[in-house]
Amino acid sequence: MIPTKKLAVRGKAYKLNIFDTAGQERFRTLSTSYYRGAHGVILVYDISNKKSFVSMEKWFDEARMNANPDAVLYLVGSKLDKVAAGGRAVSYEQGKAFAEAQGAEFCEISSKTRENVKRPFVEVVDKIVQKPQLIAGATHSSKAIDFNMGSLTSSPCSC
Amino acid sequence: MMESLSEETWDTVMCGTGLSQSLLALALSRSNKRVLHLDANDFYGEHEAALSLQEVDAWARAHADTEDTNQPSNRHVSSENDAGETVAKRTDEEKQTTPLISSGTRSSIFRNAQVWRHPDADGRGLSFPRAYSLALAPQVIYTKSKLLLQLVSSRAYKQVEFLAVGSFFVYSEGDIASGPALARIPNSREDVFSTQSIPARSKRTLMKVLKFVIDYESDEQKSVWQHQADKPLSEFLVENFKLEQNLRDSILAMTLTLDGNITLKDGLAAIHRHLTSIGLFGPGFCAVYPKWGGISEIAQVGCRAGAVGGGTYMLNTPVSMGEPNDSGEITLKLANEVSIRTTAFITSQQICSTTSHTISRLVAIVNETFQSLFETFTEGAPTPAVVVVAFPSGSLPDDAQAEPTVPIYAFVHSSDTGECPAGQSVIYLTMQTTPQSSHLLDTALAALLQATTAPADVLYKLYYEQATSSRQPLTTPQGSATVFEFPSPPLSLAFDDGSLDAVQEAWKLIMKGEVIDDAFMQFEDREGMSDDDDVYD
Repeated sequence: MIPTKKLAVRGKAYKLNIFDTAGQERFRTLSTSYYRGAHGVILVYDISNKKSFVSMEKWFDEARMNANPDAVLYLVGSKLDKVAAGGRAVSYEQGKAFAEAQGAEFCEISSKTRENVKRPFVEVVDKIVQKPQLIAGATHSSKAIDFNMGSLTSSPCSC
Repeated sequence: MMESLSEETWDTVMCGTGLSQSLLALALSRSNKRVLHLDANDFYGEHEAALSLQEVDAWARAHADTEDTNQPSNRHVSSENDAGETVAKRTDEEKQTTPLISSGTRSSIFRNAQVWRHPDADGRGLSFPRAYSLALAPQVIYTKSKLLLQLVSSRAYKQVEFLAVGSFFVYSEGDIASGPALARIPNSREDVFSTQSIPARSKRTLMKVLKFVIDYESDEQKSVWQHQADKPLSEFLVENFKLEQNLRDSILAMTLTLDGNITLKDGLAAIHRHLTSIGLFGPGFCAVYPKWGGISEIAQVGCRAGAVGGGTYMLNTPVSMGEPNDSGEITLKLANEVSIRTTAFITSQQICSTTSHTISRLVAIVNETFQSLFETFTEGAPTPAVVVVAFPSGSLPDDAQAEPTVPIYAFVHSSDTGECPAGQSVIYLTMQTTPQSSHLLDTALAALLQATTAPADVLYKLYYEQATSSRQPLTTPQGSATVFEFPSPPLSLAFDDGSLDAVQEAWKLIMKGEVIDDAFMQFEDREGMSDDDDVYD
């Protein structure tokens, strides 16, 4: 399902279509259709769970295999709020080094305290707009049929 | 984690992610029912999947057999998934050698699969395996189809990119001077009049036929055809309209019938559907095709809706049925001996019926774009991504020996379908299986290349045969629970609305009278899904 968010990066407004993986990642059953035309992929692990960090390599492989070769990859360490209670299992440096090895940007966030939550999106958009070849192959081609007719009021969003 | 699957009784366990089950997942996605959706394959779409070349190679190895011989083996290994949960997986070796399993039985729907690769495929442009997405059972969807209405009313259409199906062509061998040719079928009044290839007298005849078909359900026209409803359409066209052969071939091609002897009743309905679909969703086209592999894409969107609605998804997970338990529920064994319970087990029939027809399919990747076929003839018409070429019965140079002959259809897909890289096309050829069909499909492919005078190389070919299960869904009570088995996909080249009835039937079964039919697939946009509802800046 495609929530759209507006986001300003360097003074310019962008509209983001964000695909929720809806739990299909739980048994690694994301359908290939998720990756179609994606300009950026944000992969998130839990900094308090070593295993979830280790699994990131497989997810990078899957994203690279299915997404546009130019798509921007971004690694996020989540649950930063757990650090205060001594819950950190993966260091910032480990995350950073792994992201660099994968050619991805990196940051740590907390959804609970809202720390850094916007940053991955801003940085991903910033990277995407620097790749004109990525934007050129836009998600919806001009050849797609618009279902905008008579009683069928809403039309597929293309931006 | 696997244990947690066995803690509750699922309202339904669905096995197989073909179109029917996936539409059912979509239909249940707002119901708060507990849904577990599994597939024995490691890809979505079951019999209607779209596969990368790597997947095609493995699939062809698994479906190379003529007969249904091997029993599935039960060797499984466990591995851990990302959250450290134990998940059963078949070993790699096994994945390549065992046939695909669904609900414990071997599917016999597909067989005789063979892959051919050009010896210099890479040199001639064959790209990396994932650059391709070959549909196992490609179908065009007429704009009049109820499937499109359901995708709109359920809001799922927003995630599918629909492309136009363009012209229909009829192949003719031609004479020695002109050689083989493709004649475009005119499909509207304006089109008939502007076509120069048809002489004026034939135009009048053709107009009479089209007018008759548009109105065929009226009492006046019914009196003309109803008493002979079961005779072949082609005979009727000759007797009633004195239609000459090339026009008759054009009319028959519009039916997309794989059986040259389609009845008058079915033929009229098919042509009527064709003619009344034109212009419905935009000028100049009568059917659509979902980008990236057709029906498979709709199946994936249905599954995704199911997941958003809280359903649990597992691929690569064969299931076998155990005895009903004390409370009359169905017990199912997943790989790894995990046992789960449900009151409604939904699966698909895997055993082909002995009375069903079998069709032969040839899928070819060609390093040519066939641009002239994708021209448009109506103002404002979108550039199509799919065109249809019909080879009427007996039209190919050397099929005279294979009596009685049947027609062959080729769907030419441009790279706009996302099924191949730019500069290439995927051609899907289909015919009823005959002893000669593998050879005839190759002949048709060569004839198509010759008629378009394309200097093309065939880079990759996949041949296989497809049968069907019985055509009705099977409902079997098990204790207080129910097993519901969808029929396998129909062999038609256009999506058949009949298969939607079974989806609604299964939906009613799971909803247990909590619903009225009017509510089927009628959803509002999900919160947070509409444009700009949450500006975050």
